[in-house]
Amino acid sequence: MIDQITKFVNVLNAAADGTPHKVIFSLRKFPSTTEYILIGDRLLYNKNIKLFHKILRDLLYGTLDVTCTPIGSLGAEPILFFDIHQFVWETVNRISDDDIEAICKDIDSVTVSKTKHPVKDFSLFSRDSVDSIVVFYFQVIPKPVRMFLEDFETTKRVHYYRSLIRMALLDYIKLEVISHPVPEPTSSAVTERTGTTQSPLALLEINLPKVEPMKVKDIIPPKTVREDIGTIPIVIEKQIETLLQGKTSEPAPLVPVDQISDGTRKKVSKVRIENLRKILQNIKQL
Amino acid sequence: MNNESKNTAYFKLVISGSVNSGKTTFVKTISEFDPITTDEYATEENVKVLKGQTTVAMDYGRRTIDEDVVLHIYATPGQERFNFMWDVLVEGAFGVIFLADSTDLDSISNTKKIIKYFSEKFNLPYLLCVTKLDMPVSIDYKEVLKLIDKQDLFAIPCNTTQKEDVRTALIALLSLAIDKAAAQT
Repeated sequence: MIDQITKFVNVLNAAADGTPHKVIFSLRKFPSTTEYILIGDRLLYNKNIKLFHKILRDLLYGTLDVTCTPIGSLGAEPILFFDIHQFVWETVNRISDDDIEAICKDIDSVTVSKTKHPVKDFSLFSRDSVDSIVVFYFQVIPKPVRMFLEDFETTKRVHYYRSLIRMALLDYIKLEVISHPVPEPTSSAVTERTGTTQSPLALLEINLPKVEPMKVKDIIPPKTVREDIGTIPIVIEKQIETLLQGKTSEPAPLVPVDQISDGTRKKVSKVRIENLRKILQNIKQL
Repeated sequence: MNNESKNTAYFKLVISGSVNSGKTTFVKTISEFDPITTDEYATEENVKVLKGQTTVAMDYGRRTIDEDVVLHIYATPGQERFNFMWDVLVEGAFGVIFLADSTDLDSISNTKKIIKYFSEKFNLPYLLCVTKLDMPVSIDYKEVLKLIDKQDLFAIPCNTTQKEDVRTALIALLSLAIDKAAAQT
């Protein structure tokens, strides 16, 4: 899982310069690919967007690989696109709890450290309180996830896993397999260091977790976070569902619905699409 | 009207957003004739400050695509007390464009409420156009998006007086509508 996340982060970094890149997800066992265009933080809308949550899930499972190649200019400036940070945040939320647990089965042996992004830049539009807790907890020194999970309720385990995954995918935190035990910032460690030649900064770093005990209730999310923090309202979730899966109720046509038999509905839809295309062509000449 | 055939298909586009966000101008820019408006003298003090007259029922514009296809464009009134008209106007629409005035925080807040109202009641393709970004007192485009705070909503900057911007907005919404309709077949 960590290798797969690293590959995804590498893709994001490659496209970070703002030039268009083709992101290619390919199945390992069969020659099948799905492609997206990424320009900086902008993931361009295409018909494959509705598959993105499944693709990301399979990437984390290791059944897919991801690569990217720079492409030339796109010509016209893209109109429809997603903010990749926001989109990955939403996408990871769509992966089921069971999948998240399966993906994270070895995560207890993983260390978390912060990456190049300063915490002030942690600006996902709709992060929830769990993200804030994770960021606060891991911002000072690398720590194993095991320690983190001991400090917070186990009932939130899946939420924490989810948060770790999405922030690792977006390069806010770095996951690494523990190669050697990380010293815990215990009070004895602080005492040992006091009076030595450690720099004041190092002392501060060791002391911080004790000064600010990481209790869930102590961490107040920033005011910019929505009122309904922590969950996505059902309606919005439905809309995301709609956008990603293309499942919509039939937009009511001006022709009365009861005049359209079930047998001709598909035909009517095709006519509707043709007419919408006609409008599109007309508007392009506006 | 005269060149419409018996089988003419009518498509309805709805423009919505807070008071003074540019809805009537948007309709005017795209319509083949001067839009039919229902402007009355504003009675609310906060609206009077913005403009003398305001839309109370709807603005209507129209664009004939060919003899078989006609696009009707309706702009809703911005005030929340006219929300019964929103329901009426959105009936049968293929999509809704929301306008948010980047020069007025209250207007952005109202547009946010309107977006919430529509998205909770109707499952349609939506597009947000952030307007008046060329005005000296406007706030940054990205700041407007943060205030609107709607993750799944596509947004673009739009000067409603410019045909090119209105054209871009319509192409974006139509692309979404076509994809959505295609997914159903």
